[in-house]
Amino acid sequence: MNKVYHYIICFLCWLALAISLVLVLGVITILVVKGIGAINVSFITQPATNFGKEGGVLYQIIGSLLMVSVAFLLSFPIAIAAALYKSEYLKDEKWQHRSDMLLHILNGIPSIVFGVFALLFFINICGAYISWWLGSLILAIMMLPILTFSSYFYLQRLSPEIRESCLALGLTKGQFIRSFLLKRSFAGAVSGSFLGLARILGETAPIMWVATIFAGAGIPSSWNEPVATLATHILILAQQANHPLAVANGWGASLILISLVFILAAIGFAMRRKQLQVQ
Amino acid sequence: MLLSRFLLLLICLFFSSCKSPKQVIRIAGSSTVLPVIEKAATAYTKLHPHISIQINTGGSGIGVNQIALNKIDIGMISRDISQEEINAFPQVDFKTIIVGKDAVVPVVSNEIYEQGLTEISLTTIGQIYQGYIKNWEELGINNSEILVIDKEASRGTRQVFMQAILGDKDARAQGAGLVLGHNNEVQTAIAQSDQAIGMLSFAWLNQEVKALAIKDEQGKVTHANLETIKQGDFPIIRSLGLLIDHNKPVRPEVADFLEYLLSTAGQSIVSELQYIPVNA
Amino acid sequence: MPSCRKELGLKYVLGLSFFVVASMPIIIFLVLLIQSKRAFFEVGWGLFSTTWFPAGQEYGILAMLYGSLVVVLLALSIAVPLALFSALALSEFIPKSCRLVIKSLLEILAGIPSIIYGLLGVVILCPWLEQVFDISTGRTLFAGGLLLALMILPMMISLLEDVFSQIPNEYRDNASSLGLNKSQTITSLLIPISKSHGFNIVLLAMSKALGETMAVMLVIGCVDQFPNFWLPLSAGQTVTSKLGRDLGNYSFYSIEFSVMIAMALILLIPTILFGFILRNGRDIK
Repeated sequence: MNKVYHYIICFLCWLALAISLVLVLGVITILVVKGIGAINVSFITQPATNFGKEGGVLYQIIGSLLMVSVAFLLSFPIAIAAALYKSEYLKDEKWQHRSDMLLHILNGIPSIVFGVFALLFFINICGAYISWWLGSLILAIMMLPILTFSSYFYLQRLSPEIRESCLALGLTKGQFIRSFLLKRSFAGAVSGSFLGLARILGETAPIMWVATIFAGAGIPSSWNEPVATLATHILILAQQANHPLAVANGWGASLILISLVFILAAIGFAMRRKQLQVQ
Repeated sequence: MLLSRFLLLLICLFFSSCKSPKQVIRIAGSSTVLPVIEKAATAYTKLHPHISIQINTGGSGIGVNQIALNKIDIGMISRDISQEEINAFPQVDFKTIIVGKDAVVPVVSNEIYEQGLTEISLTTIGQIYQGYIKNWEELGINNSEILVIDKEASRGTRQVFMQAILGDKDARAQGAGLVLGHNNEVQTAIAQSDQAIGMLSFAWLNQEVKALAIKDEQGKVTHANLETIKQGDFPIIRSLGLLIDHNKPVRPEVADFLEYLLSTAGQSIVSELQYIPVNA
Repeated sequence: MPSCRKELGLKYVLGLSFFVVASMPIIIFLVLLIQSKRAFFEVGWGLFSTTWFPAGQEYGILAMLYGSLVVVLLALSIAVPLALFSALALSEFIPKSCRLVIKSLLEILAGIPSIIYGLLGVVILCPWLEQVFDISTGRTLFAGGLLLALMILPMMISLLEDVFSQIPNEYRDNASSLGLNKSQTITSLLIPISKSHGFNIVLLAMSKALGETMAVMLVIGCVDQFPNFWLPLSAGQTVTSKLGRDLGNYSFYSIEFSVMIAMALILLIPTILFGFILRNGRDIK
């Protein structure tokens, strides 16, 4: 009996792993093979035409990168400042727990809820027009928890001896932060940044009502203009799934998006691994 | 730090390399009117490079709402504006400028068409959409379930269609198997399936999406083609409209674009895309 | 002293940033709450009817809630056993070098944006379902469930494998010296130990699946009706899909809009609950 039971369990494990691997490899293969078929130099360097069925994704690539870069610039300083405060000034245990929980909640809020909030608050309540920087703003808010935690944990791993020696040398808290901790909190936040950027690069729901439109968005030349992004472009193409051209372009755009996400995530993971080793 | 400075530099380069900001015309609304506006906008901005035209879709409902909220300059609608909408926004004076005519046709997958179903009565379509007729064999075709493709309730195409087949623009379609939005999506779904029926703008017909002729009570059959739409014989016709708020001053570039759409150049774009020009 | 002011200044600047970050979720919650006031007061219990028909003043969102639940339960029922046994296979049967390669592949999949899963669903999954089950359209709750299972699977396998690998080897050695073979070790030792962590991981996956929009709204069929319970092979609607597709269609001042905001608020509830439950913070890597 034991033997039969043993074989069943082993069989289930191997079967499950086989199924999972087939799925995983299948998805990756489909995306890579179909995507490569659609990508050529003109795809990357030409703008889209005919609802995306023709042309390339130049404006989309630039738009995605622009929006994500500004999101990074907006959230980076705030996240570091918040992490520094939480690490150096917040001594109350209760508030540490409460802020942990609030940050976790912020991190777990579904993207569509961010999109609803952005539409409600920026467009309807504040009365703004569809603008690319609103997309950066809501994406920055989404990135805050990852960056803050990343920076905070890095600061926490600092050995207490260094803190004591700095205090013993007569440095005030402010001087300690400015001359020493700031650099360290940057380092901690940067690895988190890449991971955060990898996540928001592919986001569609938060920005689709506040930053993007269906047609006519080029490279923004001012703040109040919409932008084209890879993610929303793929959405538009997916809704025309019977046109082989639209589908082909969809695969191409997807592969470009995944490659960008992958590069950012890989850098982020590599940096994080390095940080963990150094300490 | 270096990274941030580099990114800041990139962004400054973007903005400094651009000249003075363009004048913007914001347009949103019906996906039926969209191709005309999109093509016209491309041509127009070539003639006037200092003007940028931003176009969003989402349906006729969005065209009305966004004009009312003063978020756009021109709203696209493919139906008439309703009394409820006029009452809901008393501060807005809706004015419709018609740039073309179009028909809403009942469409089926070409497999159904080739099996012999080429005409249908409005009452029958109504019964299908309400779920009373569920299978194609009840109409003399092979035994397969009818995939009824419905559209979102705020879409102009749907409201015009429902008014024609059920007498109520907001009628519920209990027999609906799919609810889609954009005309593109409907076209995709009908083409992908081999047992579907749906509603589509006349300009969106192609090899895989075939229009059914309408049979009226007397047995007279009207096909959907440019002639019958022009003459008004086809029973489901609507105008392609552009909405503006007459209570607010119309900016010169907006008025100019509207004029362009009504000019020979604009109207030739309308007929190129298989819609009926205004003066036909 | 000037440096005292500088000290205080720094503290306030940092404190303000901290306050902004920490109050963000509260602000979002409050804004949604205020905007959904109309829905709760004017529609009230009518929200829990099965009919969504704004033109007839019916604003029942039960069909959407039901759709979300069905799709998530379907996804979990496929992904949880698959992930559990795959993770066991990875940690107990696969050598370390292979494990790293497989885990990297899993990380890649976990990072793929959801709109791309949506594209996969519309172009590949739905036509395939039409063929296999001989149904009129593949856009069904079942397609939504399958796609969600695919999306949460890599993350679950990876996290579960972490949990199993962190169980010290001496536990396993002790078990084998007591005469247990591998599968008995698994069932009587490893699984019970990792129960609480496993539960947290399932909650995390559930939370992620509930909030998923782009993939689901392309393959679900978007029919605002209560589908037949025994046939997830019919089209349906989820809360996220309804929001993603229809929010823009309703005027800001209308009741329908307020009801949609109420739905977004309801989406926040699992997130807040899970935030309370998952206090340990192992989900942020």
